[in-house]
Amino acid sequence: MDFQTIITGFASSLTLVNLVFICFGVLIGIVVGAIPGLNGPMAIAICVPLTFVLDPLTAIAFLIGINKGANYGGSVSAILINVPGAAEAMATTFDGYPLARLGKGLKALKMSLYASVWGDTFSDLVLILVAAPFAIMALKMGPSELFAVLLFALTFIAALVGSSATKGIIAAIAGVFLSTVGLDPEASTPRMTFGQLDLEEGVPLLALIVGMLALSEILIQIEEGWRARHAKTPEQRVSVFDAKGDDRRVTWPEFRSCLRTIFRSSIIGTVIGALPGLGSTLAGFLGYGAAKRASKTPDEFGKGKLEGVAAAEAANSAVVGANLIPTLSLGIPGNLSAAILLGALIIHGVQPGPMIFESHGHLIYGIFGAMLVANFANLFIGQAGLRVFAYIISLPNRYIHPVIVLMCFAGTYLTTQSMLAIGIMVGFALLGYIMRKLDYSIVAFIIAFIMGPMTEDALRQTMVLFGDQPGELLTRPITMVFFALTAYSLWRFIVGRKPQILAEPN
Amino acid sequence: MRKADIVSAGVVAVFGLIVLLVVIPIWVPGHMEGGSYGLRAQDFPLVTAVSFTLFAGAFMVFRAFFSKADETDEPPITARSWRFLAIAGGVLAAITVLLDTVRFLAGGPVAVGAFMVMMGERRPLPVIALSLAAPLAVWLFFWKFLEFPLP
Repeated sequence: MDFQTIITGFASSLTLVNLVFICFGVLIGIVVGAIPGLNGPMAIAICVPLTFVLDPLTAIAFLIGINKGANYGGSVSAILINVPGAAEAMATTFDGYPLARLGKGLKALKMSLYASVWGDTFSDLVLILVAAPFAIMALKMGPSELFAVLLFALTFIAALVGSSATKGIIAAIAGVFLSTVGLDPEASTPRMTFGQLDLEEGVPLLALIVGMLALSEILIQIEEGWRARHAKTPEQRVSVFDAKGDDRRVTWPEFRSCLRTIFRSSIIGTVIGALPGLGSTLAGFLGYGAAKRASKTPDEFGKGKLEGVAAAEAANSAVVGANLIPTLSLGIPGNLSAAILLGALIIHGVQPGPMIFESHGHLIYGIFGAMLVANFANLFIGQAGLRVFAYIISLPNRYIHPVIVLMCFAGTYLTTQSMLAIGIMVGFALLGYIMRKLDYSIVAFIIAFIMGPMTEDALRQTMVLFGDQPGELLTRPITMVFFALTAYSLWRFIVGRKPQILAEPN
Repeated sequence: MRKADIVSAGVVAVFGLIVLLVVIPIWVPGHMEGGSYGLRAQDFPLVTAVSFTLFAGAFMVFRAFFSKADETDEPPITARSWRFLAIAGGVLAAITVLLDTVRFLAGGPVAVGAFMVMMGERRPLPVIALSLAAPLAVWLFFWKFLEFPLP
């Protein structure tokens, strides 16, 4: 790829339209992230249909804006009402809420914003530096190596997300199986379409994601609301407007004292993010734990220490950019947001995988530029709108969720313009509800559904290449190494016990 | 969770057997198109269906015979949950039928209103106001502004 492609790619992210959509995305993201019960992946999935009229770069830039905004937004409710807007902000509550109770809510929110933007920018820079070399390495792999890597990644992700490795693997294989519905990629013979023309292009991706992710979550929340209606919970909300003087801002000495922690957490988050299946929740906990261990005053953690907020937020935000390393270079989504972004790329006609840097170099570097711009947008919008976001978290869900349900129906219809897609969405909403209750990971299911066609393609090419002689695989050392790693992960996670901290909530 | 695991894994295994014995043989062609080697259209769905059936079956057997019964083995989905799921499923199905028959502008308000009531809003004014305003706004945005057809 030539230097000019890189420069023009970056420059294309700076057009007025892209800047407006990035800022709009960040704003939506922060608002959605701040409202407990709503989260980034849900918002991205619902907003994908809005991008159909946009060109691929503007569309992905908008969705990335939502992702980044939501990641920070989760900390607003974590700090002010002790309820993380999303699971990744869980570690932020440890010191964020005590700070808010001490009248330093604004200070905590600002430190959370600065640490979040810093961690995010750090991991974006790592992504920009390493994604292309990774893709070049991936290009040197043959189909058998790619198949082995995909198989390993699927096993790894399935075993790590959710609380049961076996159930995660069952969900993942079911996801791959479901991806085979539609026309066979080689001979275009229909598979399990049941005579429905609308199913020839496969199960609509958006219907599946919106149903499982957004609608099933709303169903769970409605049911919880029914149960808790009579149980009075004490008001935990803390006002940010009572703060005075230095309690309203982060002073330079305070920020400087947290710099080492922020940097350490950024590295932790980036490493965690680059490994598929390990999510931002784990990064937040590890970043927080590392800061506590390294501190000279570990006893102050959990009682309102600014460093604790910085550690958790820098770590969980650093996952966002690094997650795109395997996503863009190998086509393996690191987490749910990355999987939906990958799905959005496919919907916009961009085939992910190692060739993406060759075939869509301009777009990829445009996306990188948009990611950096989104960080600045996050900083400015987050700073300017702190008070507004603090109000938004008090909006009752009974006004927000019905509108989201309506958006789910409208957005799903737009993808195929058939009522069958809506029926499929409703079906997956009910299935998602049952899977969540029974602890079958919907994250593994969705990621595997998206990775399924790529895995099948790689297997098909391998079989053709080796002329149906599986023994030929023994001559491929990289393939054998990844097969061995797959077998080891299966044994390790199913027979051995998985550390509890690795379990990512659905 | 042990009982739920046994039942759910059993259901998945039975579903897998139905897929293997009925769905794939009828709905996926088994013959090879074109060349003499490679994968048939049936092969990959078969491999994945066999895999999840085997995993689910093995998991069911393991949970039934080789894992200890939990003293507080509360079902994750209670009778109340099933009742809720039936109501929610009925409401969602009704909304789908309404959108298909009376279209978005008439079905949308019912959808919003139904979910507001399900979420505990009982005051008529907010229910009516949001039920009318939200579908109209979504319709104007998609149909008039983006020129995307809605049901």
